[in-house]
Amino acid sequence: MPILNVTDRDGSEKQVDVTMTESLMHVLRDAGYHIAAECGGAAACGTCHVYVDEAWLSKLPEAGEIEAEMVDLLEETKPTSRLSCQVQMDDSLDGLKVTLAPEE
Amino acid sequence: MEATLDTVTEQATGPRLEDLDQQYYIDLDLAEESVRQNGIQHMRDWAKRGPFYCNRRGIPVVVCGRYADAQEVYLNPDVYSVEMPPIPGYEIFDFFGGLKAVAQMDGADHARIRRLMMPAFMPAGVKALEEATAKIIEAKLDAIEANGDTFEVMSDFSGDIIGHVLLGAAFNLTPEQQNAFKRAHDSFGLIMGLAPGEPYPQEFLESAGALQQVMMEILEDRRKNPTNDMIGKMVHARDNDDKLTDEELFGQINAVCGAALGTTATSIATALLNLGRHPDQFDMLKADPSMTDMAVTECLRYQSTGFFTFPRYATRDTELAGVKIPKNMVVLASAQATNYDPAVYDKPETFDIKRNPQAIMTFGAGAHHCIGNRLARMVIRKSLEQMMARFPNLRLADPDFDPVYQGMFGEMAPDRVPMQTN
Repeated sequence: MPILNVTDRDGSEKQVDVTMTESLMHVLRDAGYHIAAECGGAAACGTCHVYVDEAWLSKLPEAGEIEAEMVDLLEETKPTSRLSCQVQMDDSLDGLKVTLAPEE
Repeated sequence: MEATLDTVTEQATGPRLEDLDQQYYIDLDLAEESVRQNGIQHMRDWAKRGPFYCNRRGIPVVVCGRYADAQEVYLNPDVYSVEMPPIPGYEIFDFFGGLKAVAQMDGADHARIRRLMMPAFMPAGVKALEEATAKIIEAKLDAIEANGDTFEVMSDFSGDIIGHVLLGAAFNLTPEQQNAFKRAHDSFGLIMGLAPGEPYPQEFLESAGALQQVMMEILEDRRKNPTNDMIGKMVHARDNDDKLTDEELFGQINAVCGAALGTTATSIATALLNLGRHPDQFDMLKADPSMTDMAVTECLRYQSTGFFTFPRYATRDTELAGVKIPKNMVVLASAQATNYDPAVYDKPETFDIKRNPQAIMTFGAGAHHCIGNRLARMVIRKSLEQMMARFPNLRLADPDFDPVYQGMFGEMAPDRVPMQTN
């Protein structure tokens, strides 16, 4: 069962068991994190923004065009920014480290 | 060209009431005024039942009010498209009077236009409008204060705030140009009550024509004199291949106005109405305005603009939560009903500004999630903050006030919300 390492907006860290193959956004939500993701996973609202640990960034499939454009339009972006609704969880991401970006 | 037998038989048709499984049919015409006046009760019921058939002026529609059902509709545009099939009678569902609008496109066309509009509605674009919005609100509050201790929210405050923000501050239009937009927008209501096949009224056609003329002037001006306002940016979208045509620009700007003007005015009014009807919650917010963002979300959940988002149309025979939906059927997802779904919200009928719900569906979901949601939230938040700061004793004139609702099809705009400032 893959493990996800999450740093919340207040800096607190936790390990989350990933029980299903679903998007990172759904995993974070199921674990009780406040992720608005109002568009439900269509990369249309930019409210599921996370920073992926640098060491893990290259292990994720690259962001698609729509996701990349949406991320560019957020204010608190970093080179490691991703929309969690566009990151599909699977066994290859066991140990993935992410930090929740500020809500905007 | 003369119609041949082939073209006649190929004409698309919608489903017939008598062909639908009657166990899912409710004898309800959504266009009936009683549906609007009892809208909240209807939607609290829809939130607990699966998709069901009913009709609008005899046209069969399927309504879904549970969160999961509506989300399935919103997230699957290949099955539930916003593009209207050419079926006689369906024109009463066309919010834009035949203009090509981004809210009624799917796929590549939609993605291309939405990405050009997006920057103006994202955090930086919305922040850039905050100062102008604050000034517009201050001027309204000055007028209210000068006028005595009572005021009416729709006519004295919320009615045209977003109009000033969007048309004045964001689009940088002259007062005459703004009036052309307002006149055309007001006339949208005229086509909403039409029966299938009934012609568009003269005022609708005239105001749309006048707006088109004004719009062409504006576009010509922005081409000659590049500006940094929202229209200027859309006209000068950098990538040449992505440039919008005049018709597309007109359609999009019209759609933005159509989607924003009435909805935001209503949402400000219903926010004040429900805070006023829950004085304990209102007092809590006045004592700690840092909760305003959270309170705005609860206000938007509890009661916002009305029943439905833009209609979807089934692109093929399908099934939603066990209910068959034939190809071409009108699918009405009730965003507001999903806010009352007990599977998602604990005690959904309770107004609780500390609820902090995760993902309300008031703004829809999927690729058509309301592009203006940040702008709307900002304008509502500033309205509440500035109003509470100016009038600490703000309350409903009658704490149990129940408005009469009005508006276009699916809308629940209060006719008035009388308040007391002192």
